[in-house]
Amino acid sequence: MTAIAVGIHSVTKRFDEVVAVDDVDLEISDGEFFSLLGPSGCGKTTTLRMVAGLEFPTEGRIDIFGEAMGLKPPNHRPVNTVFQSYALFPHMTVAENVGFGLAMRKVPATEITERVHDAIDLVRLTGMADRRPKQLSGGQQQRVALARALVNRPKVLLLDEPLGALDLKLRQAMQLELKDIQKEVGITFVYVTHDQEEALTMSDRIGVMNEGKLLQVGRSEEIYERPANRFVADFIGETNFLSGRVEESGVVRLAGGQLVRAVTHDPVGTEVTLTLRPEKIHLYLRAGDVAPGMNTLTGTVHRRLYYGDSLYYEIDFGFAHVDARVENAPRQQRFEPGHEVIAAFSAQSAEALAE
Amino acid sequence: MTTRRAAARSLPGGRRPLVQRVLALNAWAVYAFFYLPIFILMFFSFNAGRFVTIWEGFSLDWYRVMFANEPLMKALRTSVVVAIVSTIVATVLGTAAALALERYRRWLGKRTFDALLYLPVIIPDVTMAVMLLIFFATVDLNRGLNTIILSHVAFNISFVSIVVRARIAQMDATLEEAAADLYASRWQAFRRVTLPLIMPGVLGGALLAFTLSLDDVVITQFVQGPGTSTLPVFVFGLIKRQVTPEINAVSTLMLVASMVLVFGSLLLQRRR
Ligand SMILES: Nc1ncnc2c1ncn2[C@@H]1O[C@H](COP(=O)(O)OP(=O)(O)O)[C@@H](O)[C@H]1O
Ligand SMILES: [Mg+2]
Repeated sequence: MTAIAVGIHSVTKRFDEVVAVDDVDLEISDGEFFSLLGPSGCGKTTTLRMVAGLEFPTEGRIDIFGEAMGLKPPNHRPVNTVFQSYALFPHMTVAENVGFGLAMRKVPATEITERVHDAIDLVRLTGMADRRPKQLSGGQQQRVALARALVNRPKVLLLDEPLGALDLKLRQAMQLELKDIQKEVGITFVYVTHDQEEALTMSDRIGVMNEGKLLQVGRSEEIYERPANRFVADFIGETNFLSGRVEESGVVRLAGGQLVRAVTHDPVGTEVTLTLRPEKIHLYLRAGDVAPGMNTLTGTVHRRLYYGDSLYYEIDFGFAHVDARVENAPRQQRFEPGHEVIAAFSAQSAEALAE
Repeated sequence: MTTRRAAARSLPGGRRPLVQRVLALNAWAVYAFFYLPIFILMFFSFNAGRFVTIWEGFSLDWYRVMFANEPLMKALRTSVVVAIVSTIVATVLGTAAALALERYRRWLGKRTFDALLYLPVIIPDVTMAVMLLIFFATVDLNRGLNTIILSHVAFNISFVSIVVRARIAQMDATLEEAAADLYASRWQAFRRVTLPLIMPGVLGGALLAFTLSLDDVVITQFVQGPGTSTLPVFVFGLIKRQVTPEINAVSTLMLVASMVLVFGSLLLQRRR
């Protein structure tokens, strides 16, 4: 069994009236790339700051590798932070910034020089050691912040939306690089982001937060394919919601009266919402083309949207409208507005969520 | 559009509007108002004669007289000592007050302290002087060098903390958190991150304090003891008896000293 790097036990944080973090329980394993994902203001930063020691829980306990942190100040915790604004020291060079933590811990000067050099190489800033933060681009500053934290070989690295200020191309490149660096150094990463795509592609596990509460923890696929509730389904990716009622285990009667097979968790008679991702819906003109065992619903094409790599069809089922995403592949059948189509989806792709 | 309008402006006879000319003239008038007296003052410090308005030829006599005037030199030494000591004390205390007000979330009496800190800036010098005088009498402190220094510290703390606070407010507080995150103790974070970043403000505040201390007449006059005059108070007394170019020489000396201080601090700040 791997060790628990960060243990957050029944932690609540209140600022006067505001409950920033609401009774969160979470265990992050050693060596894991863990993302905290949620909309702005949901309490991600506050959670991270409590692990760093920059804030203290109002209730509950935080452990790092089994040791209770209590009211330990940040300088006595085996963690380092990459701040959202980078927080580089403007009056120091890149090398002085990176070496700051080692100097504070009285590491011998020769070792500092060596480790700073290695860290600057690791983040591919070779040759920039004598520059000031002001003389660097946003992406380069971000790398300095990363090197400044990693050089201390913390047991846990905390990152607060580190790529938030970068443009899309650079962000995507840095995502891959961060992931590689994490594998290389083997340190536990706790990564805060509001970008669901970023979380899905980088993380070993994700914790989804909203309004201070931790709603679901799981691997990317689990979060995407098996959302625990409506908020998670809606926040991660795109989805359709269909209301209905559990008819029997694994069967839901939709608001339009149709019976479909779905993944159910609730007793018979429970009002549920089916979540159905646009790309899980296949469209056909003839019932005979549908693979056996699939759910089918008949509707009319209401609208077609062209996205280049894909097309979105808005299908009208009478009781609901649903978006279906179709790859823009060669020989793919096109449907025109007004056509009657058959929408097919598997039982596995429809998750019934209790209200 | 723009080009046509620009062309209209440079048309022959399209002279600058009256308002502009009046404003330019006004600027020159203001400069003359400020600097002419200074130049006249400096000019007559080199006068050979004993009048400050009638030029009788160049000489450095009045500077010689000034440096030979023992009571005046004593007042100068007193001024320098008072300015140095009160500046150091006020800068340390004022910076500490600024940090306490800007960096710490809440402490008992913070709002009251915040409001009262600037009182010396607002109230008239005479009121402040009487207040201090009464205070020194109450605690039974003999008037002399120490009461002058204490008084200068008292009003300088306010000025220093105003200047330093402005600088701290500009500084990103996350930098201090980053320092703490990188294993710096409170003191190390202050010494290595906060202080270097607010240094221009601290130096600016110190310079202001030094200048104010050198300048002060009203408060010093109230709280000084026998034989502990500062230079401006002494000069003030001198004027009441006789006006010779010696006064001009003293004033020129003080002016040059102030200018050296100001330019020195500007250079210091630019370096950072
Ligand atoms: N120092 C603070 N004082 C008061 N309220 C705060 C403070 N820090 C955060 N909050 C509040 O706590 C909530 C969560 O904030 P935060 O953790 O920064 O969210 P996120 O990082 O997910 O955007 C917000 O409503 C925010 O306004
Ligand atoms: Mg945040």
